[in-house]
Amino acid sequence: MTDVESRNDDLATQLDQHSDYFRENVYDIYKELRTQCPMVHSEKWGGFWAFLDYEDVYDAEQVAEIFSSGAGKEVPGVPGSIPFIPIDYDPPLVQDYRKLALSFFSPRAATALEPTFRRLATELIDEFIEAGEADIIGQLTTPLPARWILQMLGFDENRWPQWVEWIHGVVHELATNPDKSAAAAVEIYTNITAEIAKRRSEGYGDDLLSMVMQGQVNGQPLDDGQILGYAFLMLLGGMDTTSGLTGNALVRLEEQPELRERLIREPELLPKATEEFLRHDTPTQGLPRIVTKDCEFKGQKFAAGERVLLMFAAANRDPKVFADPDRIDFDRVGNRHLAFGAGPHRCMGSNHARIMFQVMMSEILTRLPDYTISGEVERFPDAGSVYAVRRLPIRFTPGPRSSTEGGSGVGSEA
Amino acid sequence: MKVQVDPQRCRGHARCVGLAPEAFHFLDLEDRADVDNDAIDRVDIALLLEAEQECPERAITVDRQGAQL
Repeated sequence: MTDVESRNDDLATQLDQHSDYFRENVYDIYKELRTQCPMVHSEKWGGFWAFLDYEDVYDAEQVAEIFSSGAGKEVPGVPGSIPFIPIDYDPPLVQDYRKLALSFFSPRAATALEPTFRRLATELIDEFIEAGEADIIGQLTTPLPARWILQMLGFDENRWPQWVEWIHGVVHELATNPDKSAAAAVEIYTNITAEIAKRRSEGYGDDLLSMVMQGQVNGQPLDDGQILGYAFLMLLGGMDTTSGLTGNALVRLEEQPELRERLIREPELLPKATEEFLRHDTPTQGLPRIVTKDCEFKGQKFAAGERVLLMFAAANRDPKVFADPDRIDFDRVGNRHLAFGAGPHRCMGSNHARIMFQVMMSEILTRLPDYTISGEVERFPDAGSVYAVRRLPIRFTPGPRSSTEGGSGVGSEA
Repeated sequence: MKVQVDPQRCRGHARCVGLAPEAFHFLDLEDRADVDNDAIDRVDIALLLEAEQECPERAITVDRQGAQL
C-alpha cells in the first residue's frame, strides 16, 4: 500500500462529519474520498456509510424500502427523541403527512410572500445601514427566516432570538454538547406544547400549527406527539438553512469580486445564481437513512440496521455530473443539484428558501454593494448537519434608512 | 412539439415553473408540476429545454419533433 492509499484509508475509516477537521476541509475530503471509493465506510460514531456520488445519492433517495427514514438513522443516535414529521416517515406516509402543510409551501404561497420578505429585509437593514457595519448573519439572514417561520406557525415572532438559540443548540451541538442540545430540545417541546394548549383553549387560527392540529391522515387526527414533531421540524427546517446559504454566498462574493460585480450588473441572473450557490455551497451537507434489510445496492453489500449518510453537498460537486464542479458558474447548464434532496423527501421549504435568499441578496447588493468582510468568518463548529456561517462582520459605506416607515415584521400586514 | 411531465417522477421541485411559468404550472395539493401543451408553442423552446435539463428528477421530456430550432 502506498502512503497516499493509507492516508485515504484513514480518511475514510476516521471520517467524522461533526469534527473540526471536517468543517475546515470539507470539500477536499469529499474530493479525496471520491477518488478512492464514493461509498465510504467510517468507523466513527458506531460505524456509518457516506454516499458521495450524485447517482448513488439520487438513487438511494428513491428506494425507501432499502434506505429508510425511520427510527435509528441518526449519526450519532438521539436517545429518546420523538419522530420529526413528515421527514422521519417513509412513503406512503410521508406524502400523507406532507399534504397537511402543502398549501403553505407551494411556489404560489412563496411568491405571494415576496413583498413581505422584502419589507422585513428593508426594516432589518435600516437598523444598521447608517452605522456602516453589521454582523449580517445576526442582523439580517438569521432573523428574516426565523420571523417568517414563527409567524407561519402563529407563534410570537418577536421571540425569534430565543427560538433561534434553541434550534441552533439542537442542530449544532448534538454531537459536541449533547446535554446542551437536549436542554434546548426540552425548551422547544415545552414552548410548542404551550402553543398547542393555547389553540385548544382559545380556538384555532389560520396558522400552520392550527392546520396541522385539525388535519387528519387516513381518517385519524394526529396525536400530540405527532403535532409536536411536526411543529419542531418546521422550526428546524426554517431557522437555519436559508441563513446558511446566504452566509456562504456572501463569503464567496467577497472571495470572487467578479461574481459580485456581475450580479450587480445583471440582477436578472439572480435566479440562476441561486441554483449555483445551492449547488456549490450547499448548507445541508447530508441526511441519514437506515438500511432495512441485508441487501446489495450497486454492488456493495449492506446489512440491516446500518446507517447511511446521503451527502448532498458531495453529490453536488460530482465531476461526473457537473463539469468543473468546484467553479461557481452562473451560466451553468443542466444544474440538477440535490441541495434540497430528491424523491419523496424533497425539502418542503425550497420555494421559500429561494425567494428569501434572493430578497436578502438583492437588498444587500443594492444597499450595501461595497460590503467587505471585516473580521473572522466564524462558522458553526459542527458542519455535519448544516454548513453555515454563525457570525459575519462586514463594513460598508453607510447609507440612509429607507423612506418607508417600518411596520413590525412579517405579521404587520393589515 | 410535445412536452410531458411524468407525474410519478415529479417531486415538486418547481424548477420548471420558475424557468417557464407560461408552460408549466404547479398543482399545489398534489405537490407536483404539470405542463400546458396548448401554451408551449408560444414559449421559447430554449426555456423548455432548460426545464428538461434542470429537472432534478428527470421528469420532463421535450419531444422536439416538428419544432423549429
